[in-house]
Amino acid sequence: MSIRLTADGVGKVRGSRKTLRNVSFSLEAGQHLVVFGSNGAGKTTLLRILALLDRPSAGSVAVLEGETALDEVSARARMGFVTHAPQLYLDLTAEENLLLFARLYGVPDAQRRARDLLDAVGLLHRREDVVRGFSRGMTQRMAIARALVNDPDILLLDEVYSGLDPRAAEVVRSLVQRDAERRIIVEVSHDFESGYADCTDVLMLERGRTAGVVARGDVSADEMRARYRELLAGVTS
Amino acid sequence: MSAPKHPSGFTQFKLLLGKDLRQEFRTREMLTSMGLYAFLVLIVLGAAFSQVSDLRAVANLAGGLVWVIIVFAALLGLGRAFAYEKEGGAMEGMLLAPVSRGAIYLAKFVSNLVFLSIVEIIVLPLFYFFFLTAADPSPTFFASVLPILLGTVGISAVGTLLATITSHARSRDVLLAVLFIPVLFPLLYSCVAATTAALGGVLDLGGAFGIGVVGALGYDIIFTAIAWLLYDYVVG
Repeated sequence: MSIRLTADGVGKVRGSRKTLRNVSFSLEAGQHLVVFGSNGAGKTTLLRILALLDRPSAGSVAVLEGETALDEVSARARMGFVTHAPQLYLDLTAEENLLLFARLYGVPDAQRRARDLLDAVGLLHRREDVVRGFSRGMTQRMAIARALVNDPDILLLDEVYSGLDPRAAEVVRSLVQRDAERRIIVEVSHDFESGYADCTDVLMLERGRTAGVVARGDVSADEMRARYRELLAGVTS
Repeated sequence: MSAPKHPSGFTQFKLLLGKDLRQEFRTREMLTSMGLYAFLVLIVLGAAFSQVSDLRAVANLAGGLVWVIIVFAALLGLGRAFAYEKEGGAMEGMLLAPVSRGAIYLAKFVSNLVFLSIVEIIVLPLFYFFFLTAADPSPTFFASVLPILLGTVGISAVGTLLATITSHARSRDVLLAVLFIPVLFPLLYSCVAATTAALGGVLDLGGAFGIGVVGALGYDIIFTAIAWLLYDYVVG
């Protein structure tokens, strides 16, 4: 049954500051929403609320299977989330980390899944090494593997390519794009060109506000790029 | 890939406990720091009592001194209990997974209990060797194991909850101590009374030993249940 991710009037207040205001959208499998915005625009806050790690101050987020809203535990089981932190145990080996998370998600044949993912991110030969000794790029590839361990229907990515060399970025991109037609992907990006190249929809955030989701086909790349530059210029001026 | 099947709470508990034990036995960070700290407290106590001519007088205080060592070693260890989770953002990964918060709590509680027990097994015989060999042990000496065991369970149960609450605070070590000692006081009082009675050779079930043990047992049951129930709210 097809899955949907909906945000309905989502807002977030931190102290006296509104970091998100009235964000709404509905995404279905196959959609890849890229969220652009300057630093502090509320992008990460939005992702954390979508991942059910933070509660919105206003509005709601729902994961629906058909017409049925999933409870939080079931919804989380369908998600993968890559943030700035790798969300890994640094003193466990690469394989131990993936096995732990695979088993916590109840993945059948966890050992094989862990090995397949390590192979896919090019770290099978380092499977017995502790993650603490990995470079930034290798850790990021491990973070992607961890997020994919449950073969999620919803993939949330927070600046997943930052700090990666071109080869590592390509490995990560191919993993993200693999099976993209049956996943909902929400990606926060600072890089307009790479973010726009992969997406089906765009959401621009400025100080927590948005004009809504724009389908990529509705606006030309040049116009979207110009809007993005205006957005950044508006914030920095 | 075929559909995942949610593991039971017990399976999650085993996985998380195995992870904690594997990490600690690999790095030995918590065990080393707790063990060293407990040993240093022993040295300080040795200096404090160095001018006491008759060490048998120290034996009367032994029940309390044992708990000074245990509580301070536990405080240090509990302050590091979530170091592995915080470092790589692993706690967030755990919370994102469909894992029972109760399983997370119980696994951390049991791992803290195991680590504190290991330190006690090493340090308390040293305490005996340094301070209690001047006098013959009382016939009820080994009964002191019971309050020590109950106290260690209570410290781990309450400490795990408080360590989670304070793990995101900037001054978490100070905050943990400020919360930990007052909450622990009833248990500490019961255990000191029971341990002192056992070491002093007075195993009166209607007196200090019996009341202390029953008090510690009641504390353990009530506070473990409260901590387990509250954990979901604490981790969010």
